[in-house]
Amino acid sequence: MKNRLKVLRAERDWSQADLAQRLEVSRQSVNAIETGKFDPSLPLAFKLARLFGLRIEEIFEDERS
Amino acid sequence: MEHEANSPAKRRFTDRFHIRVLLRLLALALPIWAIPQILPKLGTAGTAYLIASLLGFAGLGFIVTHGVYLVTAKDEFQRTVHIESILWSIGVTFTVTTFWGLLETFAHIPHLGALWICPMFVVFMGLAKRLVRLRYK
Repeated sequence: MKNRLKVLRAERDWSQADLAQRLEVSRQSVNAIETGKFDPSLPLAFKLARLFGLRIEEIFEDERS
Repeated sequence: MEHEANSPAKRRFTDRFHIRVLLRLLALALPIWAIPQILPKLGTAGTAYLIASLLGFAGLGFIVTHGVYLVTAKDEFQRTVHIESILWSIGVTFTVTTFWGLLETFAHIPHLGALWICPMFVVFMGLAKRLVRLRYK
């Protein structure tokens, strides 16, 4: 699943480790989500949305749509 | 806030892992080294059952430790990697033991003791974890 995490992170000048700490996950998790190799669960997607103050669909893009 | 690498779940898993490895080494060493020496002196099969059960409980502890880690781990990505590694290891262990078992029966190759299956699983799981992590890099 495509996402804007890298851009959103860069806008805030956060490293992957910074974002991982805010999400309470490992840096590897952030990297896997960011590169689209791992799709987060709905609770984690909501947590990301809350953190960036956006809606889930503004962060993640359904490639089939 | 803690990273998964330093999380309580990971720490508990690592602690239990070290205890389990010690128990397993003890449980493996006892049947192999001690049974032939102790059993003739004691003259009872009960001792063998007692020692062998150590190995069984170490195996049970192994499963319980992984189960507790999967339930308590908050990082869903790390949990996924762990689950995938377990599944790959189960698959490879089943394949190797089935292959070996058939060769034992029909090609009369040396017998592989069942007590080696769990250590084999642990080794395959270690390798699988590295490969699974590479896939997500």
